[in-house]
Amino acid sequence: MGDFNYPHNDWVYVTSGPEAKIKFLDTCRWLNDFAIAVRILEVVKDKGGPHKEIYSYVIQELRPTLNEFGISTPEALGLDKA
Amino acid sequence: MLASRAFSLIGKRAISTSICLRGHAGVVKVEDFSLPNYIDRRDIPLPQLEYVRDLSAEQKALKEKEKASWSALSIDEKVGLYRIKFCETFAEMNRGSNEWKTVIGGVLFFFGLTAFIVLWQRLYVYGPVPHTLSEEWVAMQTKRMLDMRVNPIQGFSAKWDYDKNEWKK
Repeated sequence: MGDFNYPHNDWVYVTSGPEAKIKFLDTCRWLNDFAIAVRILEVVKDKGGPHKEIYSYVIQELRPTLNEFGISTPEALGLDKA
Repeated sequence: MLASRAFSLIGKRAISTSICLRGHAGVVKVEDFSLPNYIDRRDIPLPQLEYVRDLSAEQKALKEKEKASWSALSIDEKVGLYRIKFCETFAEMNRGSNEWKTVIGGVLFFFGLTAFIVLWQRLYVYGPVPHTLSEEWVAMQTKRMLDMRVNPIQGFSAKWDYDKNEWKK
């Protein structure tokens, strides 16, 4: 149910691998919504839980896409500290 | 009237569905709790609403800038865009608090208070203990138990030395 082209319904892709996340970032760009792209990176880090290397691996894989769209990671924006 | 009678020949369903399509506007008041709301939760990362509902002029300009390339945005502008959409970051919403110290402290404090209350009760509320617990009575009672040879093998009387008339060492 729902339109899976919109990020908040596209949730099923977030928990799959980096290739799916590239599609997700494309969707964010298409919707002109920068904030949810950052939010999703935060979610990936949160879902990794105690395994910090998951997040760093995903960021490493996504780096070309991030640079292409100009998406900053939450760390670059200083949003990862409470 | 005639038209509705004609419709009823086709089927009553046609008219009722058209009412539904118009929505119950004017019939049912929309309750506030049925509207989408914003919430910061780990398991609902993308709420249905943006956090800031009424954008100021700079925020509107920022939103326009968002439509262009994102590399042109400065760090502050990016943070501004994030804050328009969301109230707290994940780090902020997941932060712990020091509430546990208050809770433990309060619990221990009330333990102590209860101790005072129990002590006062023991001194001022309860009457005297029965006379059968006085020292002489207990002595007479113990002598009687030894004379009766209560538990002589492994229990009470087994610990009494009957020859020397004292407790075994």
